Amino acid sequence: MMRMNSLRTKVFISFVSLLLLVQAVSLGIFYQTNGSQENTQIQNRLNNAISTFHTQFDSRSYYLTAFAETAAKDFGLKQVFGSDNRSFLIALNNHRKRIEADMAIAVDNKGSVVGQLMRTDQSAKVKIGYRAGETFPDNNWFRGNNTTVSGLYRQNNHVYQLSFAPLRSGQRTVGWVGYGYLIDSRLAQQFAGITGMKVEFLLNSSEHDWELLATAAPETMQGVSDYGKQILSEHTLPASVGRHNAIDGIISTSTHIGFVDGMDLYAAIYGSRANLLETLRKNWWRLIVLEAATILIALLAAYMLAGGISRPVKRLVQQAKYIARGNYDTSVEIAESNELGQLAREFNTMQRAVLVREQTITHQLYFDGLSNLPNRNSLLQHLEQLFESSDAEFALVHLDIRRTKTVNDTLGYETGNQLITECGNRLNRLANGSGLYHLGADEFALIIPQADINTLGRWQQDIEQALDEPLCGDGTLLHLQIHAGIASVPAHAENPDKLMQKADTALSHSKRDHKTFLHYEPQMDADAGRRLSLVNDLKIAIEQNQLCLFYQPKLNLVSGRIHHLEALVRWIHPEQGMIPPDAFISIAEQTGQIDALTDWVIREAARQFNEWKKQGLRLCIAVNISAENLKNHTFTHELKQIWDDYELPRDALSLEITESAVVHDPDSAISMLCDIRDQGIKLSIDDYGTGYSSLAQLKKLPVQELKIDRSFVDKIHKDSDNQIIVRSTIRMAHDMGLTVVAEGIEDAETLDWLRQHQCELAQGYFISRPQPANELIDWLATSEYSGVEDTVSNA
Amino acid sequence: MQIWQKAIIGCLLTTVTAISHATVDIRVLNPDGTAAANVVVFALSDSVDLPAGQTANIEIAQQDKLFQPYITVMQRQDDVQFVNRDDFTHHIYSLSEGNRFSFKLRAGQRQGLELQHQEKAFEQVAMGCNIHDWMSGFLLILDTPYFAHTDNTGHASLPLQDNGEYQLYLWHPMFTSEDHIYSRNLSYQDQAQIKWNLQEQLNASEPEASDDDFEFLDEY
Repeated sequence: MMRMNSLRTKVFISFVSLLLLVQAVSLGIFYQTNGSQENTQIQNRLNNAISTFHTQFDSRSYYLTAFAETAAKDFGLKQVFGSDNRSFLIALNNHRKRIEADMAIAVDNKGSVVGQLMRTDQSAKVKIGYRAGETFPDNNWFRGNNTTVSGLYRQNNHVYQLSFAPLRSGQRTVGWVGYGYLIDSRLAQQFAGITGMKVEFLLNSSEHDWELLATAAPETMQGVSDYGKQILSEHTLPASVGRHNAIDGIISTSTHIGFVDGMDLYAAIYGSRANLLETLRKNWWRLIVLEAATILIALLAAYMLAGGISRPVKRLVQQAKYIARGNYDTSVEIAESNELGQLAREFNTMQRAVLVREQTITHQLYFDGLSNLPNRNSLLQHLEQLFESSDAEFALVHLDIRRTKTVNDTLGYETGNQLITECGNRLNRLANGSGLYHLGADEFALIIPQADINTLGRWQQDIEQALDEPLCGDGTLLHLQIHAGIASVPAHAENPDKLMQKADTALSHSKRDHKTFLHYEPQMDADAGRRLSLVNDLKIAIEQNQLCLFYQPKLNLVSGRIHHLEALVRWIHPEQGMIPPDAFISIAEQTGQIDALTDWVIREAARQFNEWKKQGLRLCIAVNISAENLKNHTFTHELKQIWDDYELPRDALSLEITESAVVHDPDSAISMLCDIRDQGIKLSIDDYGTGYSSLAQLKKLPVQELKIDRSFVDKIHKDSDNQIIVRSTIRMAHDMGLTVVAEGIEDAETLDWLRQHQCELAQGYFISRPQPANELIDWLATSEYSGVEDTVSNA
Repeated sequence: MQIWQKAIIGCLLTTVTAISHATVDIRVLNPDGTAAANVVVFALSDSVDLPAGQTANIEIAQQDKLFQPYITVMQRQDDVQFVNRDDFTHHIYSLSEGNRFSFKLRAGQRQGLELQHQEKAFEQVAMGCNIHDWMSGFLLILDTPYFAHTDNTGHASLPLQDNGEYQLYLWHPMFTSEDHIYSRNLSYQDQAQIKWNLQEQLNASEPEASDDDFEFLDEY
């Protein structure tokens, strides 16, 4: 079945329409030309008939003349001419018989008949016409003539075609010999046979009186009435030729033959139009049959052609459907070199391209673009497979490379990526190419099968060992350091999501606790929940004074007195009790509450300073500020406001800022710090030695004090490396005009070592833990470090 | 031609001898004023006795496929001989009433003509050759010694011996008048000069042998 709007139908219909149009045009043209051809043919037929007739007639005349000449020169005839009439008539008749002439006549040069033989029709016997000596009735024939003469001659109501030749004696014409044929049905028949048309010979004796001499019709026209008189009376011109419309189905013409006895002899020639055009009709039928056959064949061809076009298209459509369904195995083959074959080849090319692209996309879906390791999706898939077996036992290690952000910021992303890639490679080698997943950025996950405690321990060692060797990136030696959280199945989770969550929790804790590896513990989830609630509670805590400041003294190693404190904020949660600063300061930083918190801390410290000042104590308080504070452009102004509000001396409060806070945006941070220093506020750099700040940066920093990180100070008397670092740091600080504070002092030996090496201030549990203000005052009053007054006066 | 010339010379001698006698000078002109040559002029009379004249031997030759001369004039008592000077046969005939004859003449042969006696004062014989269609010759037989041919200027002279009433005739085979004759009466007193204007233009072309038709004979 062909649908109406299908390509096949359209091709077929347009083809057929075109064909029919062409056929119609050709038929139309043929019809038109045939019409004119018909007329032309009729005209030609009629013209031919007339010229044929005249040719016939003239040749008969010539024939008669030639024969008369021959006879006139026959000496036998000559010898008896005018001397022996009987012999002459016999000789005359002998000649007549040779050409079956209807008349033989001889006339002497006086116009007297010498002898005449004639017959009135072909079958009749020959009789004597005029007798010898009778006058030939029409002397005009010979007057002034010395050569042959031809013409029509009428005798006894019969018309003859007659030719005379002179009979001569030497040069002298002594008489005339003539032979003639009847204008009769024999001539008519001969003519009808040649032209295939009916002919009538008619003599008009008067205008409307026509005498029919003879008629004949070809076989095809037997029984057709005589139209000759009608034709001739309607033809105005004597020899007009034309179609005759008055008589239906008849075409006719007429021609003037000659004069006889003052009358005109005409031939009327006519024929049946149908007979004449029979050949043309036959042509018509042949053409119509031919056209019909052509159309039939063309229809068949068009049908097949349309099929030939649409079949490959159908196959292409089918192939497109396959591709849409994602079936790339079948390809379409069209063994044609035309556009359709080309299209089919393009189809196959497209199919392969789609397949390749799909594979690429799938790869990207399951593999990381940087390391080409399987990604988080792959991990989830794999985990689901692992969880399908009920007795699955394995561990998931979630790793995070430390300080990649710093590397990216300082050495560029290329180096950062190099770091990540190298780490991935090493871990992958360790995992023997399976079980390692790159979760994105600097995070990896490792599945460790059959993981008991011992196995895990080995793995941890192996990982650390694999990452131990530093990596050279952009001319810098980089240490691959990681945090990792470990969660195990079936102990910690029953589905992949949970497992990943647990491992992530463990990782977060490892980061917070600065551990390399940390196993998941249910407690971690509780911490996480608490942390979440703290976010909401912190705002209330600041407003409702749930926070308080603890103070840790800094011992002046020169004077042995305490006149500096570091203020440390504590949160006494109404439900959760004391919350350590590490737990909520990061929350404050992340939730944008750090400005409020810092503001609260500085004002509280100012208030406390003034309170102690009223009690006669002068204790300078150092307050920690966050890197986030330095991003606040109004921070300087706010500090000035506080100083003004509490009418503080410039040195009442000093600010401590970590080295890493400055590293983030050194220029703007330094500019901010300069402003603060210009206000006369003392600045101290905290946790010095843990960041990556360069000496160049340090040189620019507008600080007056440097706090050596506790990691260098702890048990320094036993660690020669740290001694070198601290000693040189102190010397360098002094050279730069900075005072040095060491923190984390937990024993007397450390304190002694520091004192020996000209460290100005010391801070640590060995001196005092952080205490609330009132307890600190009590402790200070009883401690060996009292004598504050002196210190105050010294300050 | 020689015979014809002799005849003319004979006539002239006669004229010279009768110089004391007067003559009739005739000049024949065509309607366009040109001279009509070789027209035969002769005179007959009912009242005057005509002299008998001398008997002459007339020869009509067939030479070069032509009758030579074309026109021969003779007195009835003259002897006529046909001579074939060609090297092939001629078949000479005449259908003229009263003088029908027909005979073959082989190369070099000659034959006399037996004239049938008739009461006519002049007879015309039209001769042809049955073999050579174009050959044509005329013989005028007269009962008078007074005859002459017009020369190229149309002049002819008849030395009439006696005064009296004569009929003058002009004859030429190509005249279209009855018997090819024109005539007029003449009352002759010693001499007369007649200017005879013809009513028709004389077409006096003589037959010519059409050798073209017989070229094939040369190969024999």
